[in-house]
Amino acid sequence: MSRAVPGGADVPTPVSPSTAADDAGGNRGHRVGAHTADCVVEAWAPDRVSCLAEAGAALVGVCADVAGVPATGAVPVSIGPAADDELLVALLEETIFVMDGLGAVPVRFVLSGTDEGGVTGTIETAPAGAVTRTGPVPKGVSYHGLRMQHRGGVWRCLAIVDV
Amino acid sequence: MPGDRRRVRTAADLVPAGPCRWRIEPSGAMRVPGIVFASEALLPHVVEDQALAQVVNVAALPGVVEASYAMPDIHWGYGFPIGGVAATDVADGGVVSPGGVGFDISCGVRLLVSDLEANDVLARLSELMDGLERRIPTGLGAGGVWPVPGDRALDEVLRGGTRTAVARGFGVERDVARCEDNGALPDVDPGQVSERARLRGARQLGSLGSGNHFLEVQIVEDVLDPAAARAFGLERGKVCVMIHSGSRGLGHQICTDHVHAMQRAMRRLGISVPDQQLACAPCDAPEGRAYLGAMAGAANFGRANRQALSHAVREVFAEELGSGRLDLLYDVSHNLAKLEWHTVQGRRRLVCVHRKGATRALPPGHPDLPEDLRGAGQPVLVPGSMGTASYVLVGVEHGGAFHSTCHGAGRTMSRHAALRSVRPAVLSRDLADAGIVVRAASAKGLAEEAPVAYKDVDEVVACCEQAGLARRVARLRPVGVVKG
Repeated sequence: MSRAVPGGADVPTPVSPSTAADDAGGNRGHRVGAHTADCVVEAWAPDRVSCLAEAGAALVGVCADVAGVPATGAVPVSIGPAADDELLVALLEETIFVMDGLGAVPVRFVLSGTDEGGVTGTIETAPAGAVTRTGPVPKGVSYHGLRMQHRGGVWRCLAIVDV
Repeated sequence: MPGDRRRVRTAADLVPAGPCRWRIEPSGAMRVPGIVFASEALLPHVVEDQALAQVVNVAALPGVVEASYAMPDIHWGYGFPIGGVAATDVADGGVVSPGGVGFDISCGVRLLVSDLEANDVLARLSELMDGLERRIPTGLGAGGVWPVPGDRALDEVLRGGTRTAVARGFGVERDVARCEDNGALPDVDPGQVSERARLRGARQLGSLGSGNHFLEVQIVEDVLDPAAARAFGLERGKVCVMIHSGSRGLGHQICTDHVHAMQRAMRRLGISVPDQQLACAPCDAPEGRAYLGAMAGAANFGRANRQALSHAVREVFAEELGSGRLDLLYDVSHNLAKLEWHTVQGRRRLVCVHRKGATRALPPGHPDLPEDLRGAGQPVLVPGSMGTASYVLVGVEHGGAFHSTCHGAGRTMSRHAALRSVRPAVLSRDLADAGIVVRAASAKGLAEEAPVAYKDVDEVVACCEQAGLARRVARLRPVGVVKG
């Protein structure tokens, strides 16, 4: 989550998969939806960067339960500037790479927006052995059905991920 | 190419065109018709999600010839449907689309046939499955049975596939001949495989993965074509091992990288597509060649991966049962694009055949088959769900869809829906009651792959036979399952 400040970049506040899921009924949150073969990750939040962080948390939730798992590492993130849906794809692909390439599991997303329209911050991680495996590991992000929109004061996004 | 947003949603959009064959007439941007192979029983599953709209979208690809095909196990994918087959004419601006291959390039199946009878294995099944669970890496951060290769060694895997694996001690020479393409696709360009793809792949070489990937100990339950079964070394009661895995993170990253590259190039190339996951480029354009070179490397990586897993299985069988003899029947990739010669409208043409969730099925006598299988035809390996059965089919004369057939049972229920309808503990008990020993990394992951989530594999393969795509040879039932 990030808090927007007038005239400048966002100030980051962290989003973790577990706490965000608990807030799924509120003004920000995420869930994993149905797709015949794979998974749909959906997220929503009042601002763009928070929505992206929620989407990252949703992606992690497909394969791991990180509730209460402390972070022991951090991976820097710098994506964009790019269109909203491209930022979503890029953030999800970074999250996949952390899991599938580095063998770590994100436990918190600490992100903020840049003046140029990009996103920067860190993905805080725990070793794969420290979390409970709950499902197949996401491996790729599809452009089919991809959405990232700002309507009625809420940012919403949706992506189908290959597992 | 303007997008065709026509929604094909109901059976009314399908015109009967023969046994288990339905036609979607060309309209809008479609350059060719859609041909759907389905029985009356399978039809409700075919029209229940967005798969038919995807058949229509594929029919609009530049250079597509003959038809956009859908196998009986079709279901909703992204870009292409899963169970989709389409070929493009290379000399006529035909494109290659990473979405027509899928993320898991060279995802495929192999079947190893043991010299053991069911009773030899059932008495020690639990110990055998414990051994397999210990030895076969599954899921996140598990590593692989192949020591992490350096860049040069990884290049050898990308170029040599099964041949490299066997040269490194992961198998025997006979294995090479029993792999599609003699174990390795040619024309690999390792320079088109990114650092990220290499990093993801190097640590996963010789690992099963998760999702619908599995390793099963199976027993030949029924022989339906005795002559072909003899040629394949299959006898009723024989113990087999089926391995379903792919090119792991390496293939996924290659798909990701090259979809991005093609999206950037499409404006320059004057191509637009109705679904961004259908991003494509002509086979002879730089972006097309780059993808085909990288994809061939991933295909070979996938085969080396299954070969390394086979070696580990043989070791476990030797340790637990005293016999590590497991002869490779065949290894097929069911996510691949290949340059093949076919007769289209009376003319021999080089076409790029995309098979996404579909299996090549060469007929008897085809020169690309190994000599000792040429008389029978190509073995086609069709995994079912873990609680039901799998099949061995064989390619037939005049098999349609560029010699292609189904690749599995095909999902009919989302992972979510499967979880809602199946309690993991109940599923585990039901499988145990059926005499199936399961070793799974996560109970939730197991439930997502519950048999109820899949179509009836018996119906799917019967439909393939009635449609003239392949013939049934043997039915195999699972007795042990390892899932990531």
